[in-house]
Amino acid sequence: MAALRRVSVHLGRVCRCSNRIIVSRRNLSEQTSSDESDKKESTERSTHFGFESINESEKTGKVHEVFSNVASKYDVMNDAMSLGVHRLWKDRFMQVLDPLPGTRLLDVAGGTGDIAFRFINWVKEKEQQQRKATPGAEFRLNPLETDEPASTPEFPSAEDYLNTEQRADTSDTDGKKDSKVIVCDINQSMLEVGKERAKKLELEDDVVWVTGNAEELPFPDNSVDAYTIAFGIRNVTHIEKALCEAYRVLTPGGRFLCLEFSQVSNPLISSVYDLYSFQVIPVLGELIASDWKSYQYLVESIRKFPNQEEFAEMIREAGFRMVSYDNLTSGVAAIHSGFKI
Amino acid sequence: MALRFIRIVCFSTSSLLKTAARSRPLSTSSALRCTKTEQGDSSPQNEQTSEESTEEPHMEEEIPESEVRQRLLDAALEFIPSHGWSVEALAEAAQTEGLPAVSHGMFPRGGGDLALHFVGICNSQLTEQMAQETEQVEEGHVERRHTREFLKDAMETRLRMIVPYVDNWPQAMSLLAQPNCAPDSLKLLSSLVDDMWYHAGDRSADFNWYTKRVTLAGVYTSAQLVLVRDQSPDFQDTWQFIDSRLDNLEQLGKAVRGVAPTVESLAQGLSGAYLTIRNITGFNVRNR
Repeated sequence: MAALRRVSVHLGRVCRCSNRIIVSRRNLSEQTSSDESDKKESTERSTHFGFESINESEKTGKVHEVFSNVASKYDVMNDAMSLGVHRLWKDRFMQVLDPLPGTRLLDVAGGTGDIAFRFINWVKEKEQQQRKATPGAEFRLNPLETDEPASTPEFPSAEDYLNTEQRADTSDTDGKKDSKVIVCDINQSMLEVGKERAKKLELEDDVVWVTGNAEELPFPDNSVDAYTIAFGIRNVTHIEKALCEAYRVLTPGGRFLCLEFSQVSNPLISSVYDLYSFQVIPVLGELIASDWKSYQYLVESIRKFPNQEEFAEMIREAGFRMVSYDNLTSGVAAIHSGFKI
Repeated sequence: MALRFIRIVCFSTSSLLKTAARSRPLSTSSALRCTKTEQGDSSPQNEQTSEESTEEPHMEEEIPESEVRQRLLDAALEFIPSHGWSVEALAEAAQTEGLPAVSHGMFPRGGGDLALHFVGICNSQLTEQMAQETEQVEEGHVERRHTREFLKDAMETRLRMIVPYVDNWPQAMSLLAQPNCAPDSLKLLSSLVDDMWYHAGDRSADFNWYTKRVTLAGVYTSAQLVLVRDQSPDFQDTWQFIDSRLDNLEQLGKAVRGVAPTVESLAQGLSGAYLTIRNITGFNVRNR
C-alpha cells in the first residue's frame, strides 16, 4: 500500500502525463494524505535491490552490472531456470498481441531479442497468409523484391523506422505494409547478444537496436503502435516513470503489453515455487553462469514486484485504459495489457 | 500529411500536433489527441496545480471505453465481406478510425466479439420493430395478428438481417458456438426468442413458458443453417422451412394438449392403485 502511495505521488510530480493521472478522485484523496510521508522520503529516497535497500541513484548501475554479468549466459539460464516454460510464455505473449503487418513495435528491455524475433516471424507468417488470400498476388514473380526500394544499404536508424510517412507510403499498391521493430535496452552487452542472435537467424535487417533507458525513451511522442516489455519492468528504478514514457511514445489506440513475473496466489504452488526459486535458482546460476549473486537478485526482485492487481492499478494511473491481466502458470508470470485511447 | 509528420518529429510542438490530429480520419483519436495536446499546452501550470486542483474534470473529456469499442465494432462490419469475422476486420476498422492495427486487442475474443456485436444489433433492431407493432395494436390502430403469422414474420425479418453477410455466416456461427462465446450467444438467443414470444402476445407463466422458448430457439437455429445453404431465389426455401417448422410446433402443441388429459387420469389411476396396494400389504407408514 505504501508503495502504491509513493507511486501516485511520484506520478503527480514527475510525469509529463500527470494531468491524465489525476482523473479519479479516489486516488487524489490518497495522494493528499500521503503527502507528508512523501516529504520524509524525499530526503532519503531509497529503493529496493532485491531484498536489499539501496539509494535510488545506485539501482540503475547495479542492475546494469547484473545484466552485464549474465548477458552471455542469459538465454541458457532462462531455459534452465524455467525449464523452457519462458518460451511458452513469450509465445503466448505474442499471441495476445497478435500484430498485423504494418505494426510498429517498440520492445523495451528486450536485449536478446526474444520478443522482437517472435514479432518478426509472426508478422511474416501473417503476410504470407494475406498473400495467399489475395488472388493475383502469386502472379508476381517475387513480391518481396519489388517492395524493397533497395535505397537503404546502411543500417536504418531509429528515426527512419519511426517515420510514419514512410509507413504510409509503403502500405502501397501491393498492400504490403512495412512492420517495424525497435529493441531498446539500457544494457549494451545484452544488445550485443541480441545482434549476434539476429545474425544467426538472418533477421539483422529487420530489427533496430537502440541503447536507451526505459525511463527516458529516446523516441518522439505518439511514434509506436505497440510497446512491449518482457521481464524488464521489474528492474526499472521508477516503474511509474517507465509507464509514463510508454504512454508518451504510444500512438492513440496503441497497446501497452507487459510480461512480468507476478504473484502466485495458490499457497501450495507458491510454497513449491518459493523453494525452487530460493534453493535451486541461485545454485543453477552459480553452476551455469558462475554468478550466484545476480540470480539471487533475480528471485528477490520478483518477490518485491507488485502483485497483479497493484501493477494493474499502476498502469491505470499512468493513463492507460481497458487495463487487464492474464495469469500464466497460475500467476508465476502475468501478461498486463492496457490501451492509450 | 508527409511534411506535417516530419515537422512533428523534429519539433514536436503541440500546435503542430493539433493540426496532425485534425487530419486524422476519425474522431476517436483526434478528439482525444486534441484534449491531450490541450492538456499538454497547460502542462507547466498543471505540474504545480495538479495536486491541489482536485476538481479538475478531465474525465468528461474522454470518450468512454465502451463507446470506442462500439465504434470499432460498427466500423468493422464493413470489412466482413473481405476479411470475414476476424481480427483482420477489426484491425482494418481500427485503421479507418485512425487507430493502429494492434488496437484489435481491445477485443480479446476477436471475431467472436464482432459476431456477438452483430447479433446484438440485429436483435435490438428486431425488438424495436416488434415493439412498434405491439404499440400500434395496443392503441387500436391495427388488429393483432395471429401468433403463428407474427412469429413467422419476425423470424423472416431477423434472418434477412443476416443475408448481407450470408457468405461469411457459417464462420460466425462456429465462432459463436465456441466455448468463450457460447454463454453470451445463448443469452442473446434466449432474449431474442423471449422478445418474439412476448410481442406475439404470449403471457404464459407456467412450464409452457420454457417449452415455447426452447422450441422457437430450435426453429431459429436450424433456420440459420438452412439459410446459409439456401441457393433458391430470394431464399424461398428458408421461408418455407420456417413455415413447416411452425406447422410442426402447432401440431406438437395440439398433440400435447390432446394427450394431457389421458396422462393425467392415468397418473391418478396409478397413484390410487399404489396406495391401495400399500394399504393391503400393511406398509402404510402413517399407521405405525
